[in-house]
Amino acid sequence: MAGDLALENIEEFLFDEDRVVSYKWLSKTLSMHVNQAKSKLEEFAENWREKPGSKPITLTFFVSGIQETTSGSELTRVAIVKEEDLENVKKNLKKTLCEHIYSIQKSALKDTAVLYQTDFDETKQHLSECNKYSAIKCKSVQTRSSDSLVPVVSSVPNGRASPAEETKEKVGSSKATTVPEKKKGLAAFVKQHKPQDKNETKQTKVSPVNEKKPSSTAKKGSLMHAFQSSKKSSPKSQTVAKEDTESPKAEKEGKKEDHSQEDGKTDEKKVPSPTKEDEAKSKESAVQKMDKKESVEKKKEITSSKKSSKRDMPDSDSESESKAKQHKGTKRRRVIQEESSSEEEESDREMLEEEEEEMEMDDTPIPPTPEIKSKGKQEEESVSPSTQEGNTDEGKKGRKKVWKKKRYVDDDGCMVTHRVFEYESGEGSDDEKETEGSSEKTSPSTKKDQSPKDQSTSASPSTDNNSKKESPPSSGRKQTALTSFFKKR
Amino acid sequence: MSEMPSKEPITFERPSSLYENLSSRFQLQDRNFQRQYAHLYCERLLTMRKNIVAGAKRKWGSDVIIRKLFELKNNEKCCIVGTFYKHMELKPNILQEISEEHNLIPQPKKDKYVSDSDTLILEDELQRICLVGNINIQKACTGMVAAVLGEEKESGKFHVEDTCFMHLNQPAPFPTLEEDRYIFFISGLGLGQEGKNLMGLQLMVDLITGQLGSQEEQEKYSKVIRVILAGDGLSYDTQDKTVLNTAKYLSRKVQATTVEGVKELDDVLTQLVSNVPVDIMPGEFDPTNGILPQQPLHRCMFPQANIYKTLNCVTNPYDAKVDGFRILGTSGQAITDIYQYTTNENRLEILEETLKTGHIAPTAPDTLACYPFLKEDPFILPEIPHVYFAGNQSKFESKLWEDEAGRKCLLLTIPRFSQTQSGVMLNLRTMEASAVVFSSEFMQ
Repeated sequence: MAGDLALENIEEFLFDEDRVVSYKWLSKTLSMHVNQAKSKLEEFAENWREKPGSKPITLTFFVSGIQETTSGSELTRVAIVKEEDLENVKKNLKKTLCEHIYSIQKSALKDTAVLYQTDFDETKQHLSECNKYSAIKCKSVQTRSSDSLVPVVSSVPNGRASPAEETKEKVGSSKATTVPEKKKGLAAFVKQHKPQDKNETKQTKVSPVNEKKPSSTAKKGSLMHAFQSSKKSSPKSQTVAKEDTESPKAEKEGKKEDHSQEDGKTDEKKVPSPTKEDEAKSKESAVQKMDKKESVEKKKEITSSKKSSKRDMPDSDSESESKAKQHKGTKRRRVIQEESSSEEEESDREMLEEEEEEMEMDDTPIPPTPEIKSKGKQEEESVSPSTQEGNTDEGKKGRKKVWKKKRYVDDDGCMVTHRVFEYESGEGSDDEKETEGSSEKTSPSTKKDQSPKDQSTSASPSTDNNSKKESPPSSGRKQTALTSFFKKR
Repeated sequence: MSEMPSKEPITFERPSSLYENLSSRFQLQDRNFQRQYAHLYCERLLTMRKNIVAGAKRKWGSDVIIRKLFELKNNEKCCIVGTFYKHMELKPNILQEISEEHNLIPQPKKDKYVSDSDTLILEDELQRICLVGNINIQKACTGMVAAVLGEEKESGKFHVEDTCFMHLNQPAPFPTLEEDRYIFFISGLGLGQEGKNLMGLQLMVDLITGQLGSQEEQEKYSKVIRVILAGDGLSYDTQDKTVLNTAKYLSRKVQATTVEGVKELDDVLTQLVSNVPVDIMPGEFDPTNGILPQQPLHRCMFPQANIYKTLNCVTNPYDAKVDGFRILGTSGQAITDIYQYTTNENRLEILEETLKTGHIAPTAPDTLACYPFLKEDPFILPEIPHVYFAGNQSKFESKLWEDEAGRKCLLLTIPRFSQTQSGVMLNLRTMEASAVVFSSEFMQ
């Protein structure tokens, strides 16, 4: 029965599917021993040709034999031969060791490439059991135990593949965990502060940082998800707008970065929803308007309140950090682009840095409270090795608010922190950062003193008055001011 | 036609074999490239001198005077032991290249660098002396250690009468086998080449793994207890040097040219390895270190074949014992290098020469890159192996080398598969090797 079925199958393969049927392909396809497949092919060919009026088929044969070379030495020749050449080839062989049918096909083959491809595709598909139906079994063939395999296999991607892949994986996993938290935080933040923010912008001239996010979110309202994904872009645009008014140098750099990153986002395409771009654009336009207002307000605010200075600080921080990213290396940025938003990356790193920092990050969208800051300092100091990364990451993502926190923390111990610190006081301009950062390794008190001076010198004339007034408040003061601000809300 | 029983086709069991890898001396323990190569020559001379002196005394009588070069007296017949250095005008020389840089005369790339003006110099630990007389300068090559018998003339040259090389023992004669056992040698698969017809290779794989052939053939090939892939699984085409000259930021995303080749090799290996033990030696174009001894290809490169324990990544040179047969061989770089620096046209003769002189790669480190060993020279033959092969040669040749002392060794040159489509099947029982040629195109 099985035999007849096989013959029918061969006919189907040949004429219905228009295949080249080789013994090897047949044995794999019909799960039969190779020798069985060979005999089936022979049987089929015989029967088929006996039938009157049957369609023509061509055969190829496998031949092996001893051949005598011109120099007199003997060698074993292994070849595939077309049917019409078979006798001729056998004549040329000193001794024919073996011949059997290799394949059947409808029309004559031009070369062996087709045959090779037929078998290769089949072999490739079932590579793990490529010798299942062969006539030779080897007991000594054993598969490696999973223990010995695992490290080796895993090391392949590590060793050769780009580290980006690993990070991606991590990113993916971390996204799932961290992102929801952020959403919650943001949502809560929006709910709480929406109305207040609006009021603030109009009435109390609250710091731009706080306003911006609420404003964008408020307008989009239900677009929370989109907001989250595009959050990064909107703050950037805001910063650009601000920077325009504040310091031209910062503007340019900031813009460059913003554009590049945004482009990366849109181009590189992990954009979750097609609407994201549109949303982002609308946000940007809205945000820019808002920013202008804010920037004007800012200046006023700066003079009026210490809070404003703190809030401004994050902006400058964002700039500095964005620069820091560039300096530190393109890798991170690339990853970011692939991920489509810096938030994700940040979230990843947060994951790495463990829960403590996550908590902070979650808080970040919401203006931080002084208590948290103090905790953050202690915690981060203990974690110190990871703090640098954390800073840069946070800078990318949360923009202004996040940075505030981390900077404070950093200030206590690390060099990086020092730089950041000074930026706070001297908003926006890059020159200030560098000079201050290099000069200061002294205690926080001295920094504070220096920072205001630097600001005043470097800041653009329009903001000079404001910045001077803003800068004087020390970090401690700022913190308290922030807390008081929240309390007001 | 169907004589085969269709119900229960016979399958053959591939016999197992005793296998022992003796290549540990080719495994680099440390990677210190600060050292100079003088140590290697020094070590080679010190190690081989004792044996050679013994051999010289046996050959020329125990009363032969053995002198160091500084003890030489004019016209006194004596024996001196040292390392050959062949001074060659045409030998590529980096210093010469630099000095002629301004004139922009490129040194011609030649198949051979020998010329009639070559002179042979013998060096011991302290001095060197020019050799003339009964010695074939053109067949000798730099790095061989030998004892020469003769006398120094007033000209300051040493007139040679006879030469003696290291005398190696062969601890055990050929083991006798009841049944046929085969080892299949291939080299130079040359994968990763575009537009290459791989049908021949596939036929070879199918034949060895028992797909092709009648039952008789399958029974024969079921006795192939080992496949030795002697280097150059990848093609020369995969050697893309342009990457080295381009800035990293430009080539960062460029896939290494070897990747496709390695994948193909993985496919081929998987088919083989799931049916027969395979030793894969690295070759000149394979992705491992380029200098001798080449370290094993990392099995991570073959994620599919790696599943099987029968995938055995080994060093080049490779030394192993299979069913009592000591098998030693290289992927052929040493032979090819000597070929370039001697007038010897026959690769098999060169192979034989290296066996006689007791050193696998005498031209290392002179013209053949090798690791700067300090306290050892792993290329010195420890004993006469039963099978001594070189891969990636131009054609298949075999010879049963035998000397009056009853030492026997089967010499094999394995042709490049990519050029000749042939492998070498060695029957361990009869010690007969034959070429198996696979036609990748339809035969007519």
